[in-house]
Amino acid sequence: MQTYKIVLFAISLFTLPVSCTKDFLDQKTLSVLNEDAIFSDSTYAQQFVNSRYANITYSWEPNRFGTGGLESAIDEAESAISPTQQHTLIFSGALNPSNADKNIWITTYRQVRAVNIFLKNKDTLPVQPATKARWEGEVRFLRAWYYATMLKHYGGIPIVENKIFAQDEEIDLPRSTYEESVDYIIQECDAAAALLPMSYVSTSSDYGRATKGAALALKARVLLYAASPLTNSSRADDPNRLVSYGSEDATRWKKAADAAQAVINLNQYSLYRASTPAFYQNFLVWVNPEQIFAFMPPTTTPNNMYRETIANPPSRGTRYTGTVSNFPLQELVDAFGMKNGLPITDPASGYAGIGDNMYKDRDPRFYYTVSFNGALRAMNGYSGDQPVRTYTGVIPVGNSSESSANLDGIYKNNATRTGYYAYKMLGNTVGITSELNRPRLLIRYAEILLIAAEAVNEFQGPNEQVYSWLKDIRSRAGIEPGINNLYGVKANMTKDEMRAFIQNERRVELAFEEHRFWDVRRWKIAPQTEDKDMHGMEITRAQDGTFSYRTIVVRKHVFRDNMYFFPIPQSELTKSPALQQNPGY
Amino acid sequence: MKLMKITLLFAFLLISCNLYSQELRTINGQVFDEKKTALPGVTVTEVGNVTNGTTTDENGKFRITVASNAAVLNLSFIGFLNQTVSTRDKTNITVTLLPDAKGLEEVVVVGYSTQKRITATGSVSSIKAEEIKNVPTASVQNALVGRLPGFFSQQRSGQPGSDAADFFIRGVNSINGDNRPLIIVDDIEYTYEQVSQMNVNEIESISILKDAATTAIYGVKGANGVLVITTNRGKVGKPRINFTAETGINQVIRFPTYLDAYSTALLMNEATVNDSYGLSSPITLPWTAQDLEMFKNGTDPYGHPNVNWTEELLKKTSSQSRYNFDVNGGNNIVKYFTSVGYYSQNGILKEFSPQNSEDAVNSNYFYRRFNFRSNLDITPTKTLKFRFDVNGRFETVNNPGGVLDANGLFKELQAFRATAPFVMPLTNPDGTYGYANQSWGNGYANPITRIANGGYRRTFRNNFNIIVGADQKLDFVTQGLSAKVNVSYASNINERRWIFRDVNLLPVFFYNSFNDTYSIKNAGNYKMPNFIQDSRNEAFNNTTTIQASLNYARDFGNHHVYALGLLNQRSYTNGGAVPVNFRGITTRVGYDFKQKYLFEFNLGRNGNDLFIQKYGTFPAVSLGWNVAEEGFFKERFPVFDLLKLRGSYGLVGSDNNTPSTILSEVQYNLGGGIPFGSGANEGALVNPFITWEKEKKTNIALDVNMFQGKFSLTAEYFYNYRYDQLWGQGDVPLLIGQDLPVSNSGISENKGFDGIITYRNNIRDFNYSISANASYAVNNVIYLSEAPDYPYQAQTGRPLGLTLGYKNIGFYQLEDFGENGSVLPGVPTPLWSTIQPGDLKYADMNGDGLITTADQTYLSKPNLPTTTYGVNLGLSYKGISLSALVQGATGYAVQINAEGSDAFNSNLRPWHLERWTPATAATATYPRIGFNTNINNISWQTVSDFWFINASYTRLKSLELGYTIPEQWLGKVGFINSARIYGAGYNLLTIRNVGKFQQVDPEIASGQGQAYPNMANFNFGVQLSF
Repeated sequence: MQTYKIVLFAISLFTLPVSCTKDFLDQKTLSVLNEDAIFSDSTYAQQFVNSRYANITYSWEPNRFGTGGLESAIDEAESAISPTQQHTLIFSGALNPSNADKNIWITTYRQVRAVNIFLKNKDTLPVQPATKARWEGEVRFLRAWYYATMLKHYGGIPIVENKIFAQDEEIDLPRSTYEESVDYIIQECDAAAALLPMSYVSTSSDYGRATKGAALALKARVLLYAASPLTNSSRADDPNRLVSYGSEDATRWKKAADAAQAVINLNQYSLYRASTPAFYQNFLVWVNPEQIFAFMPPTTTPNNMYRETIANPPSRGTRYTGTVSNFPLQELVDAFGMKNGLPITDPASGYAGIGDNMYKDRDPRFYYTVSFNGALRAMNGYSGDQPVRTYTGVIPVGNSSESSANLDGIYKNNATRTGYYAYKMLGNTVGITSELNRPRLLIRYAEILLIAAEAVNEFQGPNEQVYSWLKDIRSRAGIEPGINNLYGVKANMTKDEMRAFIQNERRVELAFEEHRFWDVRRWKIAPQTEDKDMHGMEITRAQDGTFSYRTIVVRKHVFRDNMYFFPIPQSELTKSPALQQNPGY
Repeated sequence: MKLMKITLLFAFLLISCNLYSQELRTINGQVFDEKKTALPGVTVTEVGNVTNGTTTDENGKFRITVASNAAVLNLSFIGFLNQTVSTRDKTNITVTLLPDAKGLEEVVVVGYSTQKRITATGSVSSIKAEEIKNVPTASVQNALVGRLPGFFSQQRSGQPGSDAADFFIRGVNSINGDNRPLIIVDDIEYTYEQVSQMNVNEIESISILKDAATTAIYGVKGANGVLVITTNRGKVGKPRINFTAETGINQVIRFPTYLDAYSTALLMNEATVNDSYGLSSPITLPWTAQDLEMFKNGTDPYGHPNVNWTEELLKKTSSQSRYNFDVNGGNNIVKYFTSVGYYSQNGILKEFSPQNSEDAVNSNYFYRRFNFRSNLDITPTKTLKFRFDVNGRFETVNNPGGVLDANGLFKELQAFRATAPFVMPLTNPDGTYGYANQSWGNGYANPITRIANGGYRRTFRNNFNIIVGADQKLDFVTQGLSAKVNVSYASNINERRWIFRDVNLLPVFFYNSFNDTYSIKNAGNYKMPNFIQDSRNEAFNNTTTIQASLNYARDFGNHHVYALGLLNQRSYTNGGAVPVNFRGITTRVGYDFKQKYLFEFNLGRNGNDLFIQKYGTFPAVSLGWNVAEEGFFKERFPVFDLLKLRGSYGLVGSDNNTPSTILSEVQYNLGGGIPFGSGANEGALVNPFITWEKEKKTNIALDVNMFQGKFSLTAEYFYNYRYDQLWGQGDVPLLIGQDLPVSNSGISENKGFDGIITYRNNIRDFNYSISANASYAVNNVIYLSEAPDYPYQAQTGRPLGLTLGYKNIGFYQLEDFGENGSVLPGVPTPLWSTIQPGDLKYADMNGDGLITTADQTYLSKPNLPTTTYGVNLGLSYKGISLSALVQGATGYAVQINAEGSDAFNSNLRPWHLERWTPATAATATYPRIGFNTNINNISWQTVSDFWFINASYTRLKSLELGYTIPEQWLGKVGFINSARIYGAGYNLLTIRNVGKFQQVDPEIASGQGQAYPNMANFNFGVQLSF
């Protein structure tokens, strides 16, 4: 009997792990919010759509690379010293496939994947067909938006279409040609435009979502880039047409012009003039007829004043402490003409030359773009604006406004390195306890007018329409109409003159809005504008209170031919042999 | 639940087993050794009827009843040769057992059983605790260093209570870093921390299991090797009372040397000159000629102090003591081993009296430990044995409360900004204390007042273990079968109590020696802040283990067969967390023919509750051939007692490096910060099929014993191939658009050899032995998923544990610069800073003329030695004994950085004198110094192999001299049976090679060198038995 028991025991000993594991060794599974849960719930699905907007500003941000963004990698601004950051690598010619930032790849393809997940689930969403269509339009537009950003950086990119890769899948997608990439983005813009509404109620929480106008405006921008000399060309070093069409074709300008005209024809948008100074307020008001596509930051998160943090002079005591950066260069300052509309190089302009009066009577946009020595800005503890003091030399003693050069003066720690501070899009308020909420304008109507002007000029020459668009912009800017009512736009310009004029107009109107970096590339003028010393203004105050002025070199920028496009990250090439590197890397 | 039922059933079964008896003849006997001393505890069995057996009592006597006149008895006892005696026509026999000089019957402990040297086929290194009992160190593993081939260790700190060495078996082989071996004490799993707290006096033997044959039975836990400890148990005999008292001192092996105030100030001026490079107006020098003069002649001790804070705060020595008391004995029914121990080790802080004498608390470092153990064996019937073990440890570890740096006092003492020689005077003239008030100082109050008034931070660690077991012989089922059950409960409770002050608020004053004025640091803060008390529970965990096993061993003529089947279940609960469960079965089948041809098969099948795939199967096979047992060999080479070839191959696992939860499907995350309200995103992709790491272990070895056991040798070669290691999927294009989970993809290998060679002999009363062991292990990444930018950034093909950084190629020399002071075109320069002569120069690996992150590569060597060795010498003459251990390690690198190395981050040290200057350009070993140092030269910001040193060391690790007082002297005292006095030392002498960093300990962990210094320990002790 006992023998039997023991045998039984012995058997059970060895079969235990098989028979008796339900309770003891079961994997502890956690219940998760899974894909089905998201897309079978209209609120979750809506939130999933919302998150597709999360990264729309990433290439635009002034702190994209920590202490700087693309404006600090070009002749717009100098950043605080940040030797290993991307903008420094770019302007010093050191960007290479190994050290190039991969965030843009990560961000783009994350969003693309998410859009594709949405599209996969869209047919079963528990919402009205109209809502469903609008959501589809939004996410398809946003996917095109992210691709368009990639296109600026790299030329043709891998287009994954609607594919959602599984993790065990072999991924080795080649880059589409430049033309295919443009065509895909345009096709998606058109499709989205057909699904999207013209506008949203300005008081609704939906205000700021993608619209038909946004999709058409993105199309115009992409077509303008595509028509530009950089890509509308044939290159010997680009046999696979990854960064160029492989041919020159002037009708591409026509397509860009038509696309911009289509936005204008919506009759939905106009330049903002409702409150003065209009050029300044344009960036601060929440609802605005000039907004075509903007990031509407959530009102509940305390992160919308980073722009003040990064740009305000240290003495202006923002609510945040941080590294002050993005100091405008003399090159940008000099691009601003006079209030009468004439460039400072024009002997008739009345420009006083370097000295105490060099900032007098300038294009009004200058005063809302740059804080210079003497610019009046709000200061904590004072009612009424106080001068910004960027000088070095003998700093007067006195109240904190008079002695603010101790903090803000050139060469001081955490102070300007060019004699200027950026001001565009900043609030002029201090000591506020709530957030300064403002949209981040990504496409505004002024850009559409400039696209139209540039494309029409290239395709048809400087016709009347071109003049009228430019006058519209310059009158809003506050430039005097002049006796000829041309707002300083020279009459009867040639196509080349007009091209140069528009280039400068884009530079000043759209400064710090992520345009200049790409414009000098697509116009192929970077070798002239970028491969040289960058300057600042050193103002020295003497004991007697007089100032002396000296133009200083703050940085040597380097431009090489390969720098028209970014290098594909080396690790991506290693992982995916089908990918091809850009020329020159 | 079902398991519990079966266990209960089984226990019931054991107790209900009845004896059966037969009656024929009774034999009385007595057993002696060759010195005619009675041997208690000798096992006596009837040959051919092993169920009939007994053991000798405390007088060596036994009584056995045999069934026939032809019965033959077998007598066996550890350390002696087996002997058989015939009982024909005898009722009284006297047997003398001969010692096992050849060492072939020597038994080593392996997993769940023991093995003899002659028949073992696995790879085990073993040591009797007796040999390390008197090594004056608190932690068991520190005493093992240099004694066991295959045992790698590094002692990182000398702090009382925290000085236990890290240890590994045969190096490391997991790319994820957790290579800690499994620790088994009396068949129950222990943690790294627990084992370091054990009292060596409680231990009987220690083994390390190294190959698949010995570790496969631990299955998913065995891949990193296993440390097996057995504790002392009672032995048949009169009660033996042992008392050991030791007292001794700990001495700091080496304090860092710092430059004095004058030299430091001179270098600070030089650094400022260097920092002015390229500036149109040079930076003002911090110290004038007059300042320097005052530093030199010490005429202004308050304004220009010269303080060596290390010497002011620390003593060179501290005290330690150890007391052990144990009683051990028993008879055939009850055997006991009971022990209590106390260990105390003090710290090296000097005594400082607090401002208010009633605030006097012990803020010094110290360690106190109280251990107890009671191991009880009860044999109610001849076939049933119970075991009741209770043991526990209570520890207190103390730290000063006034330390401000999170990394401890020893980092502060290195830091220039806290403890530069002139950062503040030792005390102000009126007896108040200053603070690091210099513009570059960190503002901390004088460390003396912080230590004196800062209170303490104390941790209490309490550890209890209970094991209850029963062992029933089941010979009535089939001869040689037995069954065993063990149930254990172990619990750890750590508490902390801090009595401390906010030392930032201490009243401290800057004394201006020029106008004799005082200014307080914190305005209005003249009062000592109150003590703050903070008590909390730091750890509470417990482990329940249940084991049930069947054992079988039997001889069939020349055939010996043995088998084991074991069920093991463990449940670990940490704090309020969900228990972590582990379960498995283990089987072992072995066979040998005449001890000549050996075969063993082990199979572990176990798993834990983390994985979808619950169980893994881990088989191992091992074979041995005893050449010396072959007739032809015996004839030709009679000097060989043993010549055995053996090998093993098998699969083992490791679940150390697995995540704590494994998701089975992708989780979507909700979040804010998005326009239009909340957002939702897909989470990282998941890999529900994650499983444990696996290792294929191959071992080939040779065992030799010669000259009647005088000479022995074991040499082993191993190759371990570890695969299925969890690693990120680094080769998937970012196009996938989502984070990827880890996958079981990494592969690495670890190979090497280890061995030990021993010679022991005697010249009349003079006994001597010498033993040398060496271990060598090198590892290599075979595959891991990565997409390196450059081949030189691939980890594949390199050893584990390397650091990514820049290759240093000397200094920028004057000829690298043009007339305007900038680097000549063609000389690679970094982007991160402006380069000047004497800065560190790095290799431009990708040849683009710039030094960027693209030029980083894997540097130097890992921190863990590839080679360790030990030489053990033992001498004894009559009552005098001497033993010495020399131990060393080589084939590794140490990296020193930040406060440990960089001028003006660290206090200045001798190596900073070897700086680059235009005059010393050819011989400099340190870059030009700077006060606002160029990040190019900062060790932790620009990691380079300049800061790595190929290190090695040889230590006189321990030395013991003892004298056993002759018995005739003791006779006069009467109640003392034996007495021994001894002196022992640890870490006595070190020959180091740490390159330019002359001061550092060679076992230092790479980093800031902030550990409590390693100590040399000297003990004097008395051992008495009653």
